[in-house]
Amino acid sequence: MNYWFGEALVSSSAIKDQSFWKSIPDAKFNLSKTPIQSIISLLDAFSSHWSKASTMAEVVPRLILESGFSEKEVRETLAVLPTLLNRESLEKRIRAEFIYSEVLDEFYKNPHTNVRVRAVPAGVLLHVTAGNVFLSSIDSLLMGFLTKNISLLKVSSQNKFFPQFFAQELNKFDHQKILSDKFAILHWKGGDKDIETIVKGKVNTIIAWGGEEMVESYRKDLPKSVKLLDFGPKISFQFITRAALLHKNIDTVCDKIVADVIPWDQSACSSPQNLYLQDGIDEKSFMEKLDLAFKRAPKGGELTEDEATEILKETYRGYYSELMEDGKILLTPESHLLHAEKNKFIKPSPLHRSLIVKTFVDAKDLYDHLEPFSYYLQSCSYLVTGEEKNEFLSTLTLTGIKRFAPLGTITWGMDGAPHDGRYVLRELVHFIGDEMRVVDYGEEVGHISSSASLKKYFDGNPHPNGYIFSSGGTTGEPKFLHFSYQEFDFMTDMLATNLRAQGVEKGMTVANLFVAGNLWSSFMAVEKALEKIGAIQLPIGGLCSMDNILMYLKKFKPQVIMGIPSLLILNAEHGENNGAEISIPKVFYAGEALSEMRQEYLRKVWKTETFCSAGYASVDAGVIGYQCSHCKTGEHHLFSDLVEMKIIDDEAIITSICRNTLPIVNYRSGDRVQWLPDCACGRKDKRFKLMGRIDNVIQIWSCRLLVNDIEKSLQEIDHNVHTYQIVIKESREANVVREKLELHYEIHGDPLDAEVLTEKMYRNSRDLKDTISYEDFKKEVILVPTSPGKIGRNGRTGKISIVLDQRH
Amino acid sequence: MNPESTQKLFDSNPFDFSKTQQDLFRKSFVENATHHYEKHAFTRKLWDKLGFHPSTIKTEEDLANVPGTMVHLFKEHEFCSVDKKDLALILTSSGTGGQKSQQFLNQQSLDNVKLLALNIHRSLGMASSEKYNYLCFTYDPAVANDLGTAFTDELLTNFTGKNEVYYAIQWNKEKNDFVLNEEGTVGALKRFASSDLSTRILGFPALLFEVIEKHQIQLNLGPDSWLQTGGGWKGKADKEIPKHEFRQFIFERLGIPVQNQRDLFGMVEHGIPYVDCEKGNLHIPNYARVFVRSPYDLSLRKKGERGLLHFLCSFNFSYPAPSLLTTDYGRIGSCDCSIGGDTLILEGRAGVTKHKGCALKALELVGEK
Repeated sequence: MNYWFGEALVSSSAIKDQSFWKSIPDAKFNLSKTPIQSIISLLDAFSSHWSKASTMAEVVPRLILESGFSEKEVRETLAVLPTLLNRESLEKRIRAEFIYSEVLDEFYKNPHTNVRVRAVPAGVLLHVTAGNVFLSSIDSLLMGFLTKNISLLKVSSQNKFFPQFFAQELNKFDHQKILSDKFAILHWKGGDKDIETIVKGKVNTIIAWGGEEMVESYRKDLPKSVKLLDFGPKISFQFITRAALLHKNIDTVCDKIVADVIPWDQSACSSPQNLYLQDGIDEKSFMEKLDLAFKRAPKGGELTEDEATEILKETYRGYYSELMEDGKILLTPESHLLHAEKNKFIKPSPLHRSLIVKTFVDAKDLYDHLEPFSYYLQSCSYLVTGEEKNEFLSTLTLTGIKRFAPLGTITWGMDGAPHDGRYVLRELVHFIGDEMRVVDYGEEVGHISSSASLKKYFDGNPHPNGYIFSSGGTTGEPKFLHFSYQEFDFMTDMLATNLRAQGVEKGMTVANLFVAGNLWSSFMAVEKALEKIGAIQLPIGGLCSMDNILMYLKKFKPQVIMGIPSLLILNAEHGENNGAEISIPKVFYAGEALSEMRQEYLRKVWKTETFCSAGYASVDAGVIGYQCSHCKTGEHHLFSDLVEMKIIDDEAIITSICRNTLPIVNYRSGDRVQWLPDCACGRKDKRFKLMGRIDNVIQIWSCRLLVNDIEKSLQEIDHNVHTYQIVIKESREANVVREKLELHYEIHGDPLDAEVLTEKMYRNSRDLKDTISYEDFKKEVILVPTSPGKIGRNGRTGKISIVLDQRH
Repeated sequence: MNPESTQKLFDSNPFDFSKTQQDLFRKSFVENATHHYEKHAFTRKLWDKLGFHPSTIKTEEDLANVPGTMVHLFKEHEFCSVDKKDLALILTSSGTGGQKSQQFLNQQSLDNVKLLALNIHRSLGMASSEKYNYLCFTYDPAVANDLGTAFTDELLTNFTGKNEVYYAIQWNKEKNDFVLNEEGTVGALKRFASSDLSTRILGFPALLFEVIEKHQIQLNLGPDSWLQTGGGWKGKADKEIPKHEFRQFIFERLGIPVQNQRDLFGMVEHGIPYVDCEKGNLHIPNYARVFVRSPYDLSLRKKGERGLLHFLCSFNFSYPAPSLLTTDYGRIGSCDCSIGGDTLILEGRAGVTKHKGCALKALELVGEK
């Protein structure tokens, strides 16, 4: 009996009738539109159903008869099926190959590129399955389901029953017809040209599992449009080194060898057929132990006469080895066979618990005797010491071997591991790319969005899976933003690119002094970027006590330090005051400008050679610019492919395609910028200089001080004071660089009460209280009352620059 | 010079199964087995390991105790019981499945094999002093003189007088291989049909069948013409047709009487020809013994039961295969013709040619060292 898209089919010959294929296009279309989560949910639920189903009584005797395996083997194999079908396993497989399961449903942006990608099913798959392990045909079918392909499963004569049974059970369970009418289980005699020709003309991809002859028969006369994935015959082996065997319990090791060999009577492509023992291991006494381990193992299936003949042949080879070549043969009839021979080249055993034992000198010797058969090599289980492992595995990788597993674990490949050197799911789809680039077609800037519109968007939309970050809002309230994991991943990719461009390399020790927590992004972003580079990280964080920071810097001697300038300076001062000898050649800063005076100080105290911006980015808009080695303070290149920047009234207006969970379209950055001529580095990305903030936020003392808060403080005392100017300066006092804020205000009559004004300024600011004590604040603020008209005006417009930042 | 019993055996009627003749084979076998035991290290070590010595053979039943040497070892190793400089001929098989078999013959053994073949064919009424035209579906022995089939065919053509001998598989310089000369074969058949002499066709049945079908041949070669097939349907098993149908087909298309169509089974390693009687049954001569064994434990199977064929013979003193365990299935049968003795029923090749799974099997491993 065959299964044809939910219906029973008496003979597969019926599919020669073209009318049978009429429903395929609709089935194909519908399956491709089915969300992958619906498919996973169905299979997961079916897994639970299968676990509960009292089907064993019906299935087990049939499978023993059909497969020839022992009852134990059959039951243990069946017990694996629910695991294959459960959500965790299915999602792991998808993630291993596609990273994001969403690509199977829609165009999805790969965080590491700027391309949206969709995985589209190949269409119709023909799975030509082998008859060895009945579960493998179901696994092949699952691959079709997970890639939303229509599947025709051609079963072998030794494996007809189980796939049919599986199909019927799924058909009964799948009431919504998500999968049950999207596949067929067929049997026809191999070599039936009529059926094979029709099928070859109807499918898009053929997955052929099994012997060479079969694979070749499908390769022959295959239309060019049909892709053949051949998984031809394979051979696997084990090896054990002398050093690894020391101090191990030999009986346990032998049990592990046997555990690899006996599943499915050794008929899987991962079943080891040869065991290599390193010279120095007493081969013959080891075989005696191994012989006992086989005797301890559960009995295998019944042998056919043909299989017994193959074992008889190997037995005679063993006689020859033992009598003429100092080999050895240990045979327990109808149980197992061990044959030690001098020929070192890998060779097939007659299976059914037949292991050919060989010796090797070292990794190169093993390589020499495996490599000629590279096409056929599949899995290798090994017992080596930790010191030997890299040498052996890296050498054997060159033989063409496709998989390694520790001795005793070769049978079940891990979910998500490649099979036969391939990620098979990927081979069953086409990847369609939507390449995203910012292209300026010269259109007028229409609506300009601001942080207020982002807030509205944030409040009115569900949060994506990812992070919620906060950034300092200009209204005095924190501003919240969401970042999907993909966006954050991409942003940190770009950050890593920037850091690399400025000399941060794998293996460098980097101290991260950005402030962590409080919904802030910078510490995490740097941490992820450094991980991508492969740096050695000191995740210190800006809130750590300065004594501890100093201790870490002294102990681990980082080559790079990153943080906001004020914090870096504070810690440099702390070190200097404590007489510490610190050398940090490279400093990355962000969040504030690092003035020449501060750079000078760090050159002196930390012997810093290079100062770099960690990049120009905002939590709202993501990455915007990067520095090259030619960029001076405040100068950046634009990430031109990702970000479009227009300058309107000196302000950078950003459109970014890095962000898709928030609409960064014509978005006010709040930064004053100026285009610069092309860079000497030769990069085509346009260059600009940051000229300070436009939105009346002052970065000082490691906090964001709002001009509005200062204005409010003035007016709370005297609402007639309107004209003022804030001047930010740096000064050196003794060995310390100080940031000073001068508040010039024009007033008729007596100056305002300095103590009251200072106290109000401190109280009205949200950030100041978190970063500087009132006593320190008082020392750094200078109030300069002046007569009306005394503050300098722009000669042309008559306007006053509210903030004069003289630190640059 | 053959040992005494061996010489007597090959001077005797191959189909005389009297007690005396049976004893003669036993004695001849002991002579031969003792020779190989003494001269061939592996045979000696194997028999020692398995607890056998030729001197323990005292009765006909004791012959069943002789351990076989399994046939594939002869393909994988070079086994020879004499100094190779004393060899007169090395025969190789056509290498079904990629592995070639070979047999070493010193002059005495070569003389023996020719003699026993003649005796057998003569006893079956297949030898004649008349002249025949020969069409041999085999390699031209002038080029392939070490191939067993070519040797056999050349040998078989010597049992009668010869007129023209046409070898159908000829060396093709361009292809650097032997190829079937179809046009030449058709021409020879037509020529022989119009000749006054009768025809004998020797060789692979599949090739003859193909040529007749492809060229729509319909001839009458005459009632004294013979077809002597051998080698089975090697490489063309999917086209094999049952023996009786094939015999009828040949009669209808070439006019060769069914009773003159005789199949021959032989193995390069064994050397004894098992030839059809006129009823189409392969008879076992007294020059050999055939046992049928279980592939599981090599226990003997009863007459009529299928198992692995195990052959004994005593003619070859240079090649240590007096006791050959094969990978062919077969049964022992009977025939009601006048020849007597048991018959050999072949049931195909044993062993796994196609694994049911994706684990590699030996024949798939190209470039095996």
